[in-house]
Amino acid sequence: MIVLSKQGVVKEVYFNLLPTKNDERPYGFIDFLAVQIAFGIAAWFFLVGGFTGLWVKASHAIPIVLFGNIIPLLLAAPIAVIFARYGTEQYVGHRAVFGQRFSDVWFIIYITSSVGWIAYAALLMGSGAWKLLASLGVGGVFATEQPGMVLWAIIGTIIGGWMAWYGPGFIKWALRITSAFLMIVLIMLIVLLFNVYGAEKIFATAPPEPFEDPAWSITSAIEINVGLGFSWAFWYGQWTRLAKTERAAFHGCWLGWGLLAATAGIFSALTAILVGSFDPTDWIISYGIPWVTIVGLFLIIVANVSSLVCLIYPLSLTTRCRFPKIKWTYPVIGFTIAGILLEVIPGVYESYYIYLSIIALLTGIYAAIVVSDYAITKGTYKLRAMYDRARGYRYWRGFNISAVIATVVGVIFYLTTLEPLGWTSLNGLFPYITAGIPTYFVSFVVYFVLTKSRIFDKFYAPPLLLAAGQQKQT
Amino acid sequence: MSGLPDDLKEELERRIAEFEKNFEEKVFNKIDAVVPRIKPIDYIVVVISGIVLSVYLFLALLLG
Repeated sequence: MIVLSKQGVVKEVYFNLLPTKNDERPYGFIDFLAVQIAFGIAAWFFLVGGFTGLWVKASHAIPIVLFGNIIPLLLAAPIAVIFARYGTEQYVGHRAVFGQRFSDVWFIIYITSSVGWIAYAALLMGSGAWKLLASLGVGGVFATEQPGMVLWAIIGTIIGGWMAWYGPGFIKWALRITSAFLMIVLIMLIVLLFNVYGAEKIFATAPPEPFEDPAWSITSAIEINVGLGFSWAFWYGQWTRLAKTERAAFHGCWLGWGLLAATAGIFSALTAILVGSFDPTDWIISYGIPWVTIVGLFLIIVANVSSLVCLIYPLSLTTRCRFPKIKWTYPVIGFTIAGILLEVIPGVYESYYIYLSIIALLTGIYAAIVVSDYAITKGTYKLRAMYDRARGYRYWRGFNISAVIATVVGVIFYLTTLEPLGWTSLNGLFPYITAGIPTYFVSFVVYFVLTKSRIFDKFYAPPLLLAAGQQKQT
Repeated sequence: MSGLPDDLKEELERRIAEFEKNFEEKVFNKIDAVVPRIKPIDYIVVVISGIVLSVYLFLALLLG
């Protein structure tokens, strides 16, 4: 079995390193919707909806979840086209924009920032596990919130890492289990909302934990949803390189991750308003029906362990593709340990909104630069130059200076507008504007102006590829 | 790419050469290449969707 799994991983690595051909692409438009909904509906949507419901009332929560999750995907949508057009993995394709070395910097940002998703899926699993034991009347340390939840999260992460290590065979089942089980939980929430509470009460109930200033509640809720919306910017390539048409990739992602998966966020927000907790496991318990509690919590536990597989596996695979010589075991263990290290930090689970803000900062800037470049080049790149690290898109010592400056300016603008750790605004613009979407436009414009002005072209290394006459900037 | 096994290097070179021969000119001439291209109507759909969502949020916040 181990031999088979290793062969499977090697096959996947090969497949990810090569640009896909037409006959290797399985996803049409409907396939895309199905896959993106399955990948999208997970811990992250339930938790973001939970925080939204704590801060704003129902009539605001619904448009905020839709706006916050869909608008960033619309702004980032051209990223999908690039990888559908060339069939490359994202970390290969974006070398054309950032340069060979600066793309490595973004690769490191991608894999390190993504560890947070592992931690939140594991902690939600842990929250479900200790509450399940407690509801069954089991005593002991594993049936306590502290340290029971974290201990279960660690166990869940190790199980997820172990399953991910076995390779691609389990992934399709993990994806199916996650989506099917969480869809059942979602249906339970909808039934709970409308049969137990009723629509009238939902819209009449005030949010349980709003900010002192209502404007801060609204902009904060928009900001965390924008964070989740932009977060997909790092995940386009692995899916859209398998698209049968650019149109399927372009629309499938924003409709699947945005419009359809966001329904989980909407119903989560409405439930959180009534239950007064951001934690989906509390919503299940609020039914007050023992068998619903047990079944619901069990589904959340299994679904989140499956989510962990769906996170650790692609992150490890992408790392292995970037560094083909390292053994498969190392990245799997690395991401498992990194997830655990984050899980044991006190207060991480309750700080999900801070994590989303940091993600909005990083992915918003990344999306802005890639889309700005797409607007300039119309997505015309040289495939050979993407792969050729020595002679391909070299720019200045491997760094596209325009992209570096756009990144720095974007970071400064975001952090002065919203400082995530203290949730304060240094320049006072927040809450009159949000931070993520304005930062996108700041970085977009900076990159666009600098690149169009060709101000840094004199610093860029001359092209070394034979057919480099047409290629952009190198 | 450095660090790749020889058979993978050969396959990668084969695919890049095939792309350059059959599709690269089409990409630069903005016509269908490996897969059918996106059309201007697709951008219009996205822009309209964005406007509709923004108006919905604005009205919801305005009307309380």
